[in-house]
Amino acid sequence: MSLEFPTLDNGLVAQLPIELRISKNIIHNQFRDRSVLANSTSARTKYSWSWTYSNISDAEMSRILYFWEQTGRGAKAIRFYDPLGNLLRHSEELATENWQRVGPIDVTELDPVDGIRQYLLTNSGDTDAEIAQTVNVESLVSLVLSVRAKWAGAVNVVLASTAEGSEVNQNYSIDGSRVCELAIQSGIQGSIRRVSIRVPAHTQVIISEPQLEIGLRRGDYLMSNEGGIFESAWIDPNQFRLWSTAPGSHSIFMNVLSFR
Amino acid sequence: MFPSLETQIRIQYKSYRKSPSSHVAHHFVDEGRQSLKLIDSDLKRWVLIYEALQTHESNQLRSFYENETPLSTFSFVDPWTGLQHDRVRFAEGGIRIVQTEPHSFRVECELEQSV
Repeated sequence: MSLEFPTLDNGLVAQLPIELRISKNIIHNQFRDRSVLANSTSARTKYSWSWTYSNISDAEMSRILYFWEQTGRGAKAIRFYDPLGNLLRHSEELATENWQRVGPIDVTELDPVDGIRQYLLTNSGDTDAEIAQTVNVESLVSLVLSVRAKWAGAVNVVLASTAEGSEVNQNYSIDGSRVCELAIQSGIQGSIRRVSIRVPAHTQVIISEPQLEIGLRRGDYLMSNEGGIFESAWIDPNQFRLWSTAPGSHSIFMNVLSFR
Repeated sequence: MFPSLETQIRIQYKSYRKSPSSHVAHHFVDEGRQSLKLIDSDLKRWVLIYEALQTHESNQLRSFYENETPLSTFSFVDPWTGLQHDRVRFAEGGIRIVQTEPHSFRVECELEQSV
């Protein structure tokens, strides 16, 4: 089981500026005849995030140091959330099995708009229906679930987040095009969370840009493939640094690595 | 084809082009020198540095890199000559993305011409 990454008092896991280096882990083997064999098709992608927590409090510093010790100072695997990414998987493939359908809901792909794929959700039944994803995110992380919804004429859409049987949701009235966003700061224990886009009975609505991100409010939309949750990451022990600039004001440099 | 920015430009002014050494030199005791031109000696490299990119521009470059099979090639137009090179790939080192502000990114990567 991976350790959960600590959060600051505001529920975020990192501070700007954040640097992300992505590289392909290619191994070149050269032979006597100068030919080269490289693992180009099986190469994994290496992710390296680094940032500085600036001027954090005593409590925040203690939390991060406790976590640092829990990891065996970088030895153990941790779960990490890409602070520059969309945590949903395949955010533009709503018609595939990456999205679970609950109830009598049809998902039809429409022509893209400005390169972004659009989907028509149709609930022809007598009860609410939804499309959803299950994500593995620590409950103390501040999250924002958002989606762009469109319809000519007033319809309703509900964004919902469920963990350990407790649900946070919000109802949005759509008339035209609007972004719906749901801030999730439940503090519910447990890390398995279900996020869903719910459509009432006998309703159609056009959906695009679904996003689940770490933050206090919605940022710009980021298309995702495998999603921003890295189940097996680790802290680079050689990069971890702590310094204090004044009583009660500390800074920590952090470098997190993962392969995918 | 390597992606363009929203303004349809391909690179920004801080970017630069490198031409790696195209020959080997042999030096002799009488101070004579003989240089031999390498096979495939005209391979170029480009270091691309983008400042103040919007989120979707940064994400477009990131997705392009993540979805490329390692060592696979793509087309790239040399902005200094306007010539299209069809066998260009990412150099070792990958791509570096820095989010400096909520909607502002700096991106750096290096491309190399492949034989």
